[in-house]
Amino acid sequence: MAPESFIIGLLSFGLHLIFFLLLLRIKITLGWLVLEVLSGIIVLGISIYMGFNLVQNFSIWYAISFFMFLWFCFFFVSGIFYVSVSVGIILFLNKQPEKSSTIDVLYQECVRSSFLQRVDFLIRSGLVEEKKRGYVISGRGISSIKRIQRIRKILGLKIAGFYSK
Amino acid sequence: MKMDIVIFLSIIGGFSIIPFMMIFSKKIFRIDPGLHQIIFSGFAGFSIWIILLIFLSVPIRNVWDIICGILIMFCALWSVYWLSNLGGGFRINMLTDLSEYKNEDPISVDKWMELYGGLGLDAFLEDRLRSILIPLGIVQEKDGEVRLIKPIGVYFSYMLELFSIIFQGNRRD
Repeated sequence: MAPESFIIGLLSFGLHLIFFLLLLRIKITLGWLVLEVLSGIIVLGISIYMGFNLVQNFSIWYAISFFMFLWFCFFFVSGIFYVSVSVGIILFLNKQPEKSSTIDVLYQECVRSSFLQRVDFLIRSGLVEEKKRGYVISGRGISSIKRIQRIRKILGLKIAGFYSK
Repeated sequence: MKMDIVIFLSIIGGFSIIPFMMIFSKKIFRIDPGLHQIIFSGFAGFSIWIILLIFLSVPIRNVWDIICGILIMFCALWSVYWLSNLGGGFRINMLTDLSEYKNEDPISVDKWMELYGGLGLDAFLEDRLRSILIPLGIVQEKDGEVRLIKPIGVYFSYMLELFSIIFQGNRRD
């Protein structure tokens, strides 16, 4: 039955949200992205199994398409929330007593600190190596960037990270 | 797992977005790389789905199949959007800058910041303010001071703060 299958998709997404929130509160080192994917796969798997057992003429495609659509929308919103430097700037300004700050302070507290966090991430991922006098790209980093450049070239992606450029 | 032909064709339409991305990146189309490229490719993929439905004279027995197909098309579009992050993600830009640094000495963190995206990290902040936060009416800038605008900016920041409590903002990258 079509509407029931869509409802299973909707309920699965609701369960995914709850499960994701629970996973976020467990003290594990996995990032939000891994937790969100993990939660989505587990919940969707359980929901499909339940759907086949509880709903007559259960349509897996209806349930999956609705779940995936909601999941991707949420993925987009959470991606902006967890990664965006602009969101970091707004949250920082909100914490200031006058809800304002100078550009220099914003640079230090939001942009520079984001950059340094990402440097740490790149080192932990083995893509960049820290030397005595600075940083160098590792062999793994070079092969990753070559792979990315190949995909960029195939798809014709020419975005440089600046909206105004 | 019986799949209706309408859904199957929507999956084909969804996958066709990638080749359209490649086609629309050619200079002859004069389409800006990035969001415009994704929108045009998505529209072309959607058109392929509709054309296939008409061309193959697929009988529409169930309106839910059409809804399912539209949802699949949207999922394909979201996936391509994420793929486009390879073009302009923060970390990928950092790594690209480092790979293009043609000096045998290791790079200092300040030099790396200067090289970011070809314009430097100062320009990145300027870009975020001038291209997103100021046009959206969230902040205003006057004499080097950036301030949340009342009420939109302040309410938006409260909403983000609430989001931060619910979704563990301390996990932000």
